[in-house]
Amino acid sequence: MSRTEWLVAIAGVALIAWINWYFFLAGKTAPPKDAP
Amino acid sequence: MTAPVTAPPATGPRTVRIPVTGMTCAACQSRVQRTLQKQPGVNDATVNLILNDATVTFDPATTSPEALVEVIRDVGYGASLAVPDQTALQEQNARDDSATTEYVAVRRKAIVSGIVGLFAMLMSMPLMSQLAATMHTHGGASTVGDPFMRWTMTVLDPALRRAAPWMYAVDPRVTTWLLLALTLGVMAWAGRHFYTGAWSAFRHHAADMNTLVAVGTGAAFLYSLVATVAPEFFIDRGVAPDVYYEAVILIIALILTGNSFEARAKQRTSSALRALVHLQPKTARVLRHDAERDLPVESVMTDDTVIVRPGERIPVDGEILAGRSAVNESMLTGESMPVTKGVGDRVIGGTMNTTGAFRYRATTLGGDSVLAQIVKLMRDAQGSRAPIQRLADRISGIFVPVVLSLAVVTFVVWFIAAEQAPAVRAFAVSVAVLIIACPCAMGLAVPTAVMVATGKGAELGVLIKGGEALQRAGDLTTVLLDKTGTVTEGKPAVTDLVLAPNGAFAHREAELLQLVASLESRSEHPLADAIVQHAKDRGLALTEPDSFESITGRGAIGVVNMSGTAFAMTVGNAELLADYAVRIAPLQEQVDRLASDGKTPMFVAVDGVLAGVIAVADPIKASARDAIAQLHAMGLEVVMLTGDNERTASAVARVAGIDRVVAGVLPAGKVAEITRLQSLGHVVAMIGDGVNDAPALAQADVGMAMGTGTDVAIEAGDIVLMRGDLRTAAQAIALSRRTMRTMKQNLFWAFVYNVIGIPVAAGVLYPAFGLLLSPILASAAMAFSSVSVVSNSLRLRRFAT
Repeated sequence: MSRTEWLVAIAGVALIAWINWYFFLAGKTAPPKDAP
Repeated sequence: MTAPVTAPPATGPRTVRIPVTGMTCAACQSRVQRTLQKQPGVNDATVNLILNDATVTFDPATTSPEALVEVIRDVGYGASLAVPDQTALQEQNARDDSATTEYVAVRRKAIVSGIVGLFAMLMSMPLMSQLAATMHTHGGASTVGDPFMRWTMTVLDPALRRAAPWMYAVDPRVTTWLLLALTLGVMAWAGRHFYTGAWSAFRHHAADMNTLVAVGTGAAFLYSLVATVAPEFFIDRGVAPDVYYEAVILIIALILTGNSFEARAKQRTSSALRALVHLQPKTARVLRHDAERDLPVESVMTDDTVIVRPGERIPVDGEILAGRSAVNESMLTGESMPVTKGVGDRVIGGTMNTTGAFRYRATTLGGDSVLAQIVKLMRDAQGSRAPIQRLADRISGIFVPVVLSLAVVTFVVWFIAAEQAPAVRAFAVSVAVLIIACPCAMGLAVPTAVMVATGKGAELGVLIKGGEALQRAGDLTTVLLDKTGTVTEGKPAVTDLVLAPNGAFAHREAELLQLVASLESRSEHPLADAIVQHAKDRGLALTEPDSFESITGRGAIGVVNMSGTAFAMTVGNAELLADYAVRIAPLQEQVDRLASDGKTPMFVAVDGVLAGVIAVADPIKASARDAIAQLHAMGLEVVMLTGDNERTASAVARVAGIDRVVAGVLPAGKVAEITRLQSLGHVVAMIGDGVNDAPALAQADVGMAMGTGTDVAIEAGDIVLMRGDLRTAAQAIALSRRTMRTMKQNLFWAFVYNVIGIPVAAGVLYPAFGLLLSPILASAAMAFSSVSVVSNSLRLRRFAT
């Protein structure tokens, strides 16, 4: 694999990790927006 | 009147129903629901995708309906409180209007963007062929793996070249910029809600169908924008500076087309409810100050005298004061034969008067009327969730982030594996993955079936109170029946009159009946009522007895004077006649036979000589045998539970064709029998009259309350059989089974669609068959999937037993 391909692969893994963190974990831990 | 906020106890929790607009899929629904549930002071929140409303139970000390409306708006959906004092009918009308407006708007956007999309596709043809040539020179990739692209390049391009050669002479940069402008216009006008919806979902760590469409089309647009502004950036790297403007427009157009078909079909799923709402006439002819006036039904007041002429629809519920007619109640009870109504009988608003004219006193109005209650019950039922939906809900909740992840995986794999133009390939394929994934089909699979089935049920005279009742009724193994009023008419009637051979009345049946009925006219016993009624039905005139004595547990004695002759009457059981030394031997055999058939025989002696036997029984309903045969044909065990004695119960069961009888049980015993069957793994339905059988109806997996004529026990049971016909129970079970089958088919196809569609869009067939899907084909498939699920549910409208 070329350097570009390695970079794309690493970026892809990072993006997937972020998607799953943002939608599954961060959503649960964040307090409701309108909570007093 | 039905207020939108139900009357609360002073300090307890309150429940409010909030109409919500803009929800397109199960993910939207679960997002609004989760957000509401997270709010401080909210005890419970249920959001209904099809009815577009949220039902929230909250603590008024902590939050308010207005605050809840704001919360819903904040997550990107429209919400407003229902207008106070609206009846269920008015509310349904308002909903219909808003659904129609939404449908018309989506359709307009779909048509306009479709036309613009086709125009954009034609404009793109010269660009595509030039790019293909350019990339051939630069050793770039072709896109022949995609059948849609192959068709455009091999069929559309040559045809257009012949038909409009001038298009190929236009400067490509002009065309590209023009396409950019068109795309921006379509995205901002027709597709705007995809982006605003996706953004507001994103802010709340949620993702739904809008997210997929927005990310897919947004990525295609940004890619095209760079290719338009700086094409050299791509060409220098051996990548075609493809623009996907036409794809963006066509994806939006196709998804909107799917949405509009879906909106139309969703409207059709509630057509039965709409038909019910439209049953109520707008005006009523009311007698006020001795003058007839046509008033809006809202102005009719309790105790007003309403006048109904032949062929008119009855405007409000009431009780007949004068006149007689036959009323067609089929729209409410499913009973096709008109029901005769006279003074004192109840009539229901919305039913159709046939030939007679009458005046009646208005009784229940507005939200309390039978029609409004049925509409409310049906609406609540249609919005309820079947347990089978939990699976779909769980999957919808995680579906979109998983698809986003899959799209990234697809991009990386194609970028590494593609031999030519990996970036272009990877990009197009991952956009197709985003676009083809469809959470809508999963979200619609169950609720649309529930909607159509409850509507169909109402047409058949069966009110099904929700998805859960439907699902359980579909899984039944055993049906328990109450005897009195369910299998039998519930009212004793004379079935036999046997005359003593060679007696004084051997050929004078009518006279004997007249004498017995005259004596019994003083009695209050139900058996006596049956005899009196029978004599009246035969047109016999009764006389007041000279003397009457009721002997508890045995019968009655007395003297009846007829045509100047006094007759000493003795009517009762064997013990009574033995007391008076009357020989009963000549009729003993007939009496035994009648008793073994479950009838109650009464000896009749006149002047100390046996004259005959009258048998009274609670006759089996004409429809019961058929209904029980139908239940058997469906593989169900039929058991009768009754407080009656074993002998009578067994006789009824034998005639009706019932498998097993549990006799002599009190209400608690019925509950115990149901619990016993349930512990053995049976799924049990109890069919009863809804008043006496309330505990048994509640204990059973499905409680079916039998309505009697207009007196519908709407509150009782999970399923209400509007007319006292046991066959409708069989229909309800058959409909439930069919609905479960439809739900399972829908879920299967929704899952299979995604399970097959996503890998195909990701290009798994490319290595073996060279097959790829363009994002445009993916969007067409996506639109097709949810429409097919709704159409499958609509097939339930053709249900017939």
